[in-house]
Amino acid sequence: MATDRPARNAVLERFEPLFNPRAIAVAGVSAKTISQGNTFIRNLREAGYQGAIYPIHPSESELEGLPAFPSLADTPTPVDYVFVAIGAEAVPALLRSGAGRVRIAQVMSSGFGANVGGRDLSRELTAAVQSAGMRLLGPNCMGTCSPRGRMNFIAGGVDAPGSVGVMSQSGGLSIDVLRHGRYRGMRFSGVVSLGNCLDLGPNDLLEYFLADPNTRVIGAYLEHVPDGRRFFEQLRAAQAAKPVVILKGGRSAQGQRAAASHTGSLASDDQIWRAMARQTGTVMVDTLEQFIDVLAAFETSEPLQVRPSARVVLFGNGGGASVLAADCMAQLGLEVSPLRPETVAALEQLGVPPGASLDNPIDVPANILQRERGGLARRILSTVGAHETPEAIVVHLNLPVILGYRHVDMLGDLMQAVIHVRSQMASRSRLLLVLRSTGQPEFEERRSECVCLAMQAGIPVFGQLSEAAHALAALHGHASFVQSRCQSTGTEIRSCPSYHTIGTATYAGQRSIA
Amino acid sequence: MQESPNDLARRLIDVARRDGRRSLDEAAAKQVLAAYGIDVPRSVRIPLEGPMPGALADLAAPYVLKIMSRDVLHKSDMGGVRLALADALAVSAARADMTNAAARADVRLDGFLVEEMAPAGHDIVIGAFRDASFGQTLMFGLGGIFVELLKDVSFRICPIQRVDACEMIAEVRSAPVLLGARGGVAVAEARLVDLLMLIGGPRGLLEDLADELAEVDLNPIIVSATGAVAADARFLLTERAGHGD
Repeated sequence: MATDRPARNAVLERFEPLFNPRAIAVAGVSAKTISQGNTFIRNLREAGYQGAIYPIHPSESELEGLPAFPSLADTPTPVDYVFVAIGAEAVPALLRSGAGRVRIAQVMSSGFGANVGGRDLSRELTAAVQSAGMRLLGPNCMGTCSPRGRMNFIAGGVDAPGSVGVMSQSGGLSIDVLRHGRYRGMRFSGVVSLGNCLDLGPNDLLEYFLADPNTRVIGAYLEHVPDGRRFFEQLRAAQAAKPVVILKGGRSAQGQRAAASHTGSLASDDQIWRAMARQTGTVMVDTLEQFIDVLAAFETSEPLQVRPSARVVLFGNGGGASVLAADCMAQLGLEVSPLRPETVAALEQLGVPPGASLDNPIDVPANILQRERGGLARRILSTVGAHETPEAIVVHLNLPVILGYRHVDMLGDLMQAVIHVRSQMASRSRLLLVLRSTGQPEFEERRSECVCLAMQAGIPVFGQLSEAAHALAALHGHASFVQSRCQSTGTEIRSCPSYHTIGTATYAGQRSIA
Repeated sequence: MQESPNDLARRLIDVARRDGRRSLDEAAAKQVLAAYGIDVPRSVRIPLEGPMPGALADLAAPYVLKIMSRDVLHKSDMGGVRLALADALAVSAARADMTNAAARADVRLDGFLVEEMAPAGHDIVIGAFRDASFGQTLMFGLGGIFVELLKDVSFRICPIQRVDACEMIAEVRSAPVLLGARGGVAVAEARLVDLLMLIGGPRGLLEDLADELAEVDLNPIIVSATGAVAADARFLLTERAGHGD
């Protein structure tokens, strides 16, 4: 890992033409139809890209309202980034024409695959970029989204730059991440589709995102890591300083190794990635939904100033949902334990009408929750915050029920209460919000507004309590890892805490994630 | 000057390779383990037939008799291991039986190994696998049905630190057995951690021999309150000596 300043700056400099290009060339632009190159330019403009755009075309002099050039050698200025969407056979020659004038090429074209013709073309492509002195992303990838460079490879423009950096070996999944991320109020530092990783790959993007001061959380969808050893060393050296969330595809397919020994027959891809996660504090997730949930949770989390305790206080109008949530949390090694007697006593002083359950899980029916325009909810949460320091408070609201109270803006009041409590708790406890709804259109608009409002206030929002539980377990696991490794750095540990809690139900290390 | 563990191991590996073998025989494997600080049973090689060597008298009964054969990977599966032999006479009789059985099964015998029996304790398994992408990986589990049927094992990527060793032990669901559950022997965790470090730690066996070892099975290592003895050891060599993936 680039830990010293000059090395870090070199890494950042290497990727500057990708995330903040001053001039972009585009190959695969058509005069007659809207091909991939045309779409790329339109998306670029929609994102508000400020730099020069040079369409490259053998014969056209103007494309998409811009002067076009016959080759990369003919552009008015050198090119930071070229996006290539022409037939595979023509790509090596195109890139050779840019020798010495192009920093990074991202090749969307496919046809460089595993068959014989594909392999030959791959070799030609690799030789072409090496001799032309440029780096390569792809081939067979979708592009890069860089909010600070005002670049996006999909329609819809870019949101404000943020702190989540994502790399993906699937172009389709990188699009999913952008779309789900926008819906969830996430803000990205960059989303990069890696494709076949002939040149730049997961190691390089990991190095970049670790060095990038704008990136606080790193996500990766990976199917095959060419240099797994180095990937492991990079993660280990990084010491979980930035949370890394990995969605690893193909663990079931690449299951067993051909092996002669017992050990060999048990050494599967799944086992090895889990080992890597435990040794480096990396978070492994199993689905796209979990990937987004966990990234959103880390995006809004701050380092806690207290030891991670795995204690959770639940608050909401749920009834059975609260009970099920407590079960789910327990399965993930999180404790929904009773409140302290003084907390319960203080809550009883608040004059909460009968019908509410004031121990953990705190369950308050909607008709009580609406009291005092959200004031009662605020007082309950503040009281809990004053007497307890759980690792997290999870507030869950049943939206269709709450939105049924039409004479007051109950949802708005509750959101303000939650945001206020969040600012009070800051670095002592986390606050997660679950806005439970059916997905029906009459609830969606308000829900989306609340999601964005919450994210801006540093509160991640989830659709189900089980999703919040899983994300919380990831946050807790990461914090525990950082804390336990800090303890043991530099000295041989004499006694292993985990050994002595073997068999106890709440041992965090035996959870199924990370 | 005394030979370093690395040099000793590589010398024995060279011998095996020149012999056209893809694995170390049990005696050589145990020499390597001993060089790296892991206790192995005291042992004596005895000839395929004829009188017992005088060195046998240096070992304490009861004895274990094992065949040594390049044709056999899993000795105990085909009657290649006899336990609790009371004296030299019993060893001799067992040797005759096993020689006949081997001949019937068309198995070539390279020799016989007599070992002292290890003190009673728990069987654990420590293994290694050289992954093409991640390099040497280390495995831990309890022996017998725990590893064979339940696959209750944990892995780490080498080199490991002590905290990794602690965690990989605790991760195994059957680990409470090692604490003395159900009235069995209680094993000190430091002993298990030490073992894992000797094999998978920064200056351990796997780091030294990373390019030579494809797969390793130490099954079982018998751990008791007083020590740990590797009762069996298998080292499978990589395809070509000294080359990477």
